Amino acid sequence: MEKPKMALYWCASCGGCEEAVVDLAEKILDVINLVDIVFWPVAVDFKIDDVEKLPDGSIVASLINGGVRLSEHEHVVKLLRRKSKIVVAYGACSSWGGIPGLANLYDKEEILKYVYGDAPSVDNPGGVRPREKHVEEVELELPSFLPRLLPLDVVIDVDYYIPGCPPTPEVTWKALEILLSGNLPPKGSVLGASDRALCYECPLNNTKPDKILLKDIKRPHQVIVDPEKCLLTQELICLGPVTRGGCGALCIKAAMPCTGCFGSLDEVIDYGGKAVSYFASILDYYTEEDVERILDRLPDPMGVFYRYTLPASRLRGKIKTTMR
Amino acid sequence: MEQPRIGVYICHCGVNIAGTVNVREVVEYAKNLPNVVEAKDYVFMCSAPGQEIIREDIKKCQLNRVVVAACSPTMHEHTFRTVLAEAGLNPYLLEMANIREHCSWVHTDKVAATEKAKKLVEIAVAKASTLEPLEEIEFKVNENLLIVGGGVAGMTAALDSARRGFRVYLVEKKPILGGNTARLGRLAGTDMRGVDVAGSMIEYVKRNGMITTLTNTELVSVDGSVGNFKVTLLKKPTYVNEKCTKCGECVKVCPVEVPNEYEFGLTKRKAIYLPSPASYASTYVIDGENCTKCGECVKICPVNAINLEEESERIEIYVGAVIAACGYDPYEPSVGEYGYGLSNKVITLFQLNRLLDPEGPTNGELKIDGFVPRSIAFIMCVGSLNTTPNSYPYCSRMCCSSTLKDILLLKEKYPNIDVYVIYKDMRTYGRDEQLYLTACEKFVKFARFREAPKVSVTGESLEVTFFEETLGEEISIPVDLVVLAVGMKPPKDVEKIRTILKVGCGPEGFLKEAHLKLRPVEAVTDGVYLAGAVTGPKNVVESITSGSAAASKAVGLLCREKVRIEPTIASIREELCSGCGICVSVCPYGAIIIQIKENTRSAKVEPALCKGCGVCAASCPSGAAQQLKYKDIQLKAQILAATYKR
Amino acid sequence: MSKPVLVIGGGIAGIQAALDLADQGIQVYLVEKSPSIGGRMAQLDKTFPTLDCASCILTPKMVSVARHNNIKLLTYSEVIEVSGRAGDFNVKILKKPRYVEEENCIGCGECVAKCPSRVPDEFNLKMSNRKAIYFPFPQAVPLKATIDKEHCLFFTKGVCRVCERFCPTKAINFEQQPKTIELNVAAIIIATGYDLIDPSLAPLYGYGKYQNVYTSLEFERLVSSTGPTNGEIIRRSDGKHPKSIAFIQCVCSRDVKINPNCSAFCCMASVKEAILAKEHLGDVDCTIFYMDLRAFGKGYQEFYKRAMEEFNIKFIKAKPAKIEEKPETKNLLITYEEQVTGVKRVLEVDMVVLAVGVKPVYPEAISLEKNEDGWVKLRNPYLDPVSTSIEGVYIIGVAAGAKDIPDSVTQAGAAAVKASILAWGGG
Repeated sequence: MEKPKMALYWCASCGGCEEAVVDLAEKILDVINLVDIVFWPVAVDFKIDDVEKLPDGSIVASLINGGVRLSEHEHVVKLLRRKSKIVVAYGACSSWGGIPGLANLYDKEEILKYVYGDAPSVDNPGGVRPREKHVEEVELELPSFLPRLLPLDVVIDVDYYIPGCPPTPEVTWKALEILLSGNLPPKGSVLGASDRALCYECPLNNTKPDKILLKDIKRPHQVIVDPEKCLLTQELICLGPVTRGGCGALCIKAAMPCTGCFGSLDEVIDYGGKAVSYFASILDYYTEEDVERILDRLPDPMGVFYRYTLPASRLRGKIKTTMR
Repeated sequence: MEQPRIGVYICHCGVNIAGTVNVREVVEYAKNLPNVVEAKDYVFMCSAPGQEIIREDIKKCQLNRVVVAACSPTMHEHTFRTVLAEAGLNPYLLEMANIREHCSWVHTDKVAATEKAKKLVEIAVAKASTLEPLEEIEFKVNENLLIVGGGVAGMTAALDSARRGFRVYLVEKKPILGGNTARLGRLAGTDMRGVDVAGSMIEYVKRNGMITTLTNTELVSVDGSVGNFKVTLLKKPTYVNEKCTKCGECVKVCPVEVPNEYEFGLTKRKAIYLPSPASYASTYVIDGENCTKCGECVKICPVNAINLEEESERIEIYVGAVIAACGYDPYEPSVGEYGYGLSNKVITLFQLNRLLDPEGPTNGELKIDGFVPRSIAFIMCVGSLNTTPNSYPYCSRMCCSSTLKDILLLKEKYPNIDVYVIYKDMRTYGRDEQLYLTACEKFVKFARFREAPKVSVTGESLEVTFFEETLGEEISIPVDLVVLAVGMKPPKDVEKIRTILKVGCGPEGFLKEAHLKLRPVEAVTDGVYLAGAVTGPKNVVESITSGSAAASKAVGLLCREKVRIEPTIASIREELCSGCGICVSVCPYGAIIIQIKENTRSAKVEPALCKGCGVCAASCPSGAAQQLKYKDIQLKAQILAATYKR
Repeated sequence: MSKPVLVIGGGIAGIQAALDLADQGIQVYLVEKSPSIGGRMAQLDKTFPTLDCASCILTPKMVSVARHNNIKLLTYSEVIEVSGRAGDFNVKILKKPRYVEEENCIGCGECVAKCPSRVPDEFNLKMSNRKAIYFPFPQAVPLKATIDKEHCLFFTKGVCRVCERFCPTKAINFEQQPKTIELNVAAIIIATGYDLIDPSLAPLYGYGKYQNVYTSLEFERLVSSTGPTNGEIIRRSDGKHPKSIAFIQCVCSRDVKINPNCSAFCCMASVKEAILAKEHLGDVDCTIFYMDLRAFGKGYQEFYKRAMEEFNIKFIKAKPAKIEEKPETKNLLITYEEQVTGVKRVLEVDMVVLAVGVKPVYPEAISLEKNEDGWVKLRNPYLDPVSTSIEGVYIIGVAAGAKDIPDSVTQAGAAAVKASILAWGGG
């Protein structure tokens, strides 16, 4: 009997998600036993042409990581959608935009100007910029840089999500088990993670006092963390309460506060909004001056509360319409 | 969920709505909204025939949701919920669109107001589509009643409730019952003195087995909600027990002297003292704040009635209702305000009452420095009507009649004293007008001021100067005594009482009624009632009346076996809760607890304590806490409808 | 078990007393002589100082009375005989015939629409007409039609019966007879309210003589959306909007010849009416002639201040000496002495509203002890402020002394608990 076909693809991502699949370690062999991988640019030498030749719907599942930032990404994910029964957004970037999505706070020109000019490590006296068309001997067409980064489900229909930056091997394996079991949950479900917030599985949850009211906030490098005590009560911005569990509280166990890479829970409409709302409600401040002071302690609120979810949020970002 | 079938009912409210909003147009608009199967208008939806239209349609059109576009839900939500219930629908499947207060009353542009009314209806319809049936929650009612304040209003409330068969805890922070009334001297329209009225009430209270009186006791906290309050009280020591025979030996040896508040500072008292000179004080008491514990009184007491080691006692009681009857404080002019504090010839009306009282410091003789004044000027509205920078904006209601009553008493005793009343508006309302007429017949001279009169004190002489409106010129009146008709102000611990009882107060600081006109003795918080001057200035009769009225409301609650509370409270879905505890941290009513099962935590709402404020729902990071009837998805439906362009 | 209590008078005081008692589990008989409960408050447009619409806050209470299981509502009924004593009163009530069976009438109003006979409408103080079969006002409780025998064509001329023909439920019954109901009650609460004193007793104000002189109650109906003009303030003489209105205080009050007492609520009522006139007409000058502006209740002084500052209402401290009519315009000339200068002045206005004083209404069947001024004497105003000379009989609302709505409601609660104590055999 022919094994079911599977594809993996990366868009705008760091490669960590690819690494996460490899981190399945010996279990990767079980995967290979169960499925035929028909496309996986980082590991297997198939070309887009090969995918195009496959009949529509012949791939059982495509796991796509990274957000859609280039025209090439858009082209390939649309192709994979056509060829696949199930498309899974794999990892935070694909699901909601992830860290590259924070670029949506700047327009295309601002990004290029910084990356090819102003960034302190750049040495580019000619001011060379990537061009979409290159005509020297032959005409070359490079993928274009889209105005903003898009989560996968804005571009194509997505069936399931596997959260994490990157998803842990445990979460990946659980998700694959579900996908291969044939016993599929409702469309739109998050696979492999918990239905409750991280606190539920956090070993420090029971160390909380009756009421948590914060007088100050601190960043991890400013304190010596007591690893036996809820980090939130140590005035660190831990996003565990607002973040989906399932990761096994890895960061907390390493005495680092949760930064929210598993995203929000089903009942929450907007991750960052909810994060701000929850965090603001336990700040024990009353006056305008207090508010000013706390804002000074938070140099990058977007990077804290919308670190993984900006493009998928209600805010989406800050794209200027006028270009100079 | 079943397919929503919504009926929309649009009220004209006479011309209140229909005068500004084109109701017919709104009806037509509503008919085309999603899930709407019927839309109608009527001149008064709240009237019996209006209600009947809805009841009939629910049956005829098999409606399962109802939208009423009319006035504010605070006005009529209850009315229309009852209509739904009567027609067999869950009452919480009603949604109101406020097209009166939020639309017709605040707009003049008829076209725009009509458009807004349509939108408000559309939003309500969107919300209605998401409504779920909710069940009211019932609690057993504790039959006991707490009354805070042992003045005439509190005592009346206590007596009426006890006579009706309910156990009353009457709590007074002073060492003795009677409140301000006991110190008022002769009252208007009767031969009785304030102390006679208060004294006979105290007698009745003592004799009534259903009333437990706790004097020298303060309210510490009140937890729980309507029908079930847990009250913590702090009974402070008086250091003197009932063995006291009132022989008075202790007073002679006590070395501490302080102003006597009972006499409004006209005399001094010792740290051990009789809290009222009247016969109704049963023992001496020690004022813990000023006593130096020197022990002299203990040594001299012939019956060993004094124990300086006595300690405060915390008392916990459980009641179903609370009446706040904490009274008022007389306005105390600041030094120099109308010459007050600069001369002993400038006194307040309350001090005059003491001087005229046969049991007062002068045994009823009006003597200042040993002389009966030949002329007295009464200055009205002191502390009221914004006459001076310190004063309150309101009218204190009782001072005009009270002043004239005192003047008539004075005139009876000293017919030759010249009396001037310098006033702004003589507010002897109702039958008290007869006091004014009689005062005129007795040649009391009335003069009207525009700006607050000036009282100049030079050595022994006093002069009141002001612009007299009728004469149209500034005049000066030299007098031997100036009496300041001071008003009433909120009691000084009102803020504490307000916080403990979770009741509101108005801008002037008095406690706020649930409705100024029709619910004058009820607080906004269910199960808390208000009696006497704590809601605003009142005379003695009015305070007593409101004491009875508050008792009536409390009895109405206590005689019910069960009380129902609205189910529009918070609810936490345990299967989504991570036990992070944020809700517990933010809940202002202590209504959420963390329960630990098999080492995992989850939050739980105590329905009796939840007031439905929604803070937990807003802050819950998991979306597990939701405010019933105001769930995120319901609010989202409203927002989408609000922003949707048709 | 508790005994029942009788409440006489279905105005706001009687309604509140009945509701309080009923909420305490006591059977209440609420007797009202007119066809509907609601009393004077139902005739008011808005109420001071909150400017709440009177109907909006009263109607729900009226509906609650009708719905309450513990309240038996006896409208169009009068107490004709009372005997016995506190805890054990025997009461005879006469239920007048409506000539409409209350059980059958559904309040559809078909009969009213078809009735050919027009009668001056008492609810609108005869400023409009009603039919001979009528509902006193749209929100009447109970919403049952009543035939006014004196004006019904069938009763006066023996012809017509149109209402009977059109009634869909066969509720009309021309044979209906007065009915006597006998009750035994523990206590009686009197809440029979007031009438305005006849303003023609003070002829200098020209009421009844000049068309554009109104009583304050008439003005309330005039500004009310359910009133004779649907809320349009127009002059009786020419139907035009007045450009200036003078409100005159203490008409038949604080007047030793007619009534020495102050009527307590008229100052605030006039301030409110002036504000309503400003709200309705915008371009109108409102002047209030007053002796003392008695803004003594909670929020009243603030309301008075608002009238002056926000609504620009003019206050003149003077009692007008006379009012005359300009025959050509039907405008009114108010002669008064300016207080400060003592100069005689005349103000011409388009409309005059008289704040007429009140007199109590008492049930004839109960002989209450009165004061010299004709108002009821309270047995012990301090220890039992709602008690009358007869033990077990309480009195509340304006019948017990002129007062505003909050004070009436407070007294109602007080009387309810006193009656409740008697009803349970205590006291």
